[in-house]
Amino acid sequence: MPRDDSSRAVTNGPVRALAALARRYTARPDQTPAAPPAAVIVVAGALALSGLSNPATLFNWYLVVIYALFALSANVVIGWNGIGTFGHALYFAAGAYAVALLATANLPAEVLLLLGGAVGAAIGLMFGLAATRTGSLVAMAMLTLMFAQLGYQIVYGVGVFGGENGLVGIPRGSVFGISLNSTTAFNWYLMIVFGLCWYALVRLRRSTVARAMLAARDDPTRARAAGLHVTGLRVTGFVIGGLFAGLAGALYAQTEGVIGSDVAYWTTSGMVLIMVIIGGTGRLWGPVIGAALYTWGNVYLLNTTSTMDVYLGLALLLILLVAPRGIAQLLTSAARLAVSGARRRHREAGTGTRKGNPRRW
Amino acid sequence: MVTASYQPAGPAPEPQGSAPEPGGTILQTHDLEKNYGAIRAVAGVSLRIARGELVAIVGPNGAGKTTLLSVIAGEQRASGGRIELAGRDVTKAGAARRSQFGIARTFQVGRAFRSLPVRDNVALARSVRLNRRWRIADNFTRDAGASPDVTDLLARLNLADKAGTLAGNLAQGDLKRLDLAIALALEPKVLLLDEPTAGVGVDEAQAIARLVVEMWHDSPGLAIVFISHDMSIVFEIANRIIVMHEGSVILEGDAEQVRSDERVRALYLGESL
Repeated sequence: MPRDDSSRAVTNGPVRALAALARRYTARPDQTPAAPPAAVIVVAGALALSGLSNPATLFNWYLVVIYALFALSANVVIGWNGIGTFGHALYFAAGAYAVALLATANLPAEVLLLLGGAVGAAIGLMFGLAATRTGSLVAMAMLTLMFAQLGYQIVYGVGVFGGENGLVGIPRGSVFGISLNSTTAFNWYLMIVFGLCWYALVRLRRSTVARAMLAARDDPTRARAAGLHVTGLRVTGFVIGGLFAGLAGALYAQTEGVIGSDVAYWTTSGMVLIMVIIGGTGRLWGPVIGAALYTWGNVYLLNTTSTMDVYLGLALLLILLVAPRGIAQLLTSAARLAVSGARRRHREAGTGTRKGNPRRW
Repeated sequence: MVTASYQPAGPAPEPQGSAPEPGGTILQTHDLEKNYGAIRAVAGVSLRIARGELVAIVGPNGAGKTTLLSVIAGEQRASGGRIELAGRDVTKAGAARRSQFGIARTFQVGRAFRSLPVRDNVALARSVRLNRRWRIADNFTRDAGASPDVTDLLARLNLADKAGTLAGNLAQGDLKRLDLAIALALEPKVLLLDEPTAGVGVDEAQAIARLVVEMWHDSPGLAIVFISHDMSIVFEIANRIIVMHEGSVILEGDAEQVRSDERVRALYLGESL
């Protein structure tokens, strides 16, 4: 059916034009271009970060960006594959330690970053190959926890990783000759890396492989009978998850300048799991919201109470009761209700008809 | 866009004996066995299915029909014996491999990918058939979802108006059609149907049976093996009927032979053999 949103937008003013744009991006998310939103995220994010003067606030927003990427990576395994993962702490730590240990090699920051991602992906591959040998999802989660704790013991115990004290004085380095010690340069670097990862994940999410991963999650038996290699798809999820978690860990090391063995501890996996649960797995931006809420909630609670775990537990309980599929799903449902309500009122008021334009979601 | 329209009402499907292009053997099992501990669910079944045949497997509950189908599809590993598809030994291949070789199946209770729309379910199977399942940088909805093949198949299975519905929200009848659509999108050589008409209303059962015959007619060379408890449908559409009891094949033949067989009568009247 022909749709003529553009001409209508012109005749009805800029509000309608914006509404048409919003509709285009919400109605058929798989058909909309992926690059412009990523570019907007980069520019808006970098400008917003540069507008912050308080170093503590700035640093917390850095953490939000890094944890958002970390949560996005965990969501590939948790949301797309439907496998509980406790291995994520180690992929993150792998990326961070790769950057820290190679700092003396005088490599450019972007090379270190990619190496961090590669190490994360390699460990993800190892975990995936080992954990998917069992068919049970519970056993898979337990195996990732076991492997990750084994990895933690290595990080904690082997001298080169610095033990409990960790590694300090990790330089930010430079990208294409531009020193990242300047706050503005670092803001742009961080947001460009995040934007590229976001773009890659949006494209991945639209691919046949991602659709096959969802199918294998929904019904592995049907998926096999339909010719899908369920184990291969699961391992693919582990590799993609490990890659982006490694990149997040590398960014973390470059941002903090200091890392300790605690990043490899299982509580880091627990943290990212909570972020994904808070935000929800159904939408790509769910884990991002989860990461932001968790990070700032954490900061707030640390400043106001000494019993933050109690409040964290209560908050998690509240979310599981009110929005069991996460905040992203709650917001989406609310927006749908609001839009359909507005449309109905619009129709009832007799001011316009929406012929040939049924609800598209 | 719709090439064939599905008629919900019409004349009864053609009776047996009208297989298009009956040819050589497509599927063969040799002394196939499946044991669960001491229980012999499938006890040495040797079958030969010809290209383009429409074969029914019947038998009382617990006869091993579904287990036999699962072992042939590769979902369960055989305890003994061999399975050949078009002369190739597939006994050691997993379910996904066998599906790629040309064995597709449906399930007794319709199964599909519930979080995906109906269209994506079929488009994914189509992508497998076209060997696109490992594409990582494409746009699934644009490339596979909009394929006319998928649109045609949905129309034929009377699912066109539900293309955007999530599979998890379908009623059982529609879910069974979708399950069948996924199998057909794989363009199999052998299609295994587990109780295609069970669990739905009488009219829906008739409609699905008609659809199966229609699909079989339109796919020259396609062999269909279906399990059914509905003897009227079995007698109506099957070329050949295989009767199973306690894991073994006790009789193979056409409707007349099966109807007149004493042992089958005894079985269906509940008497022991």
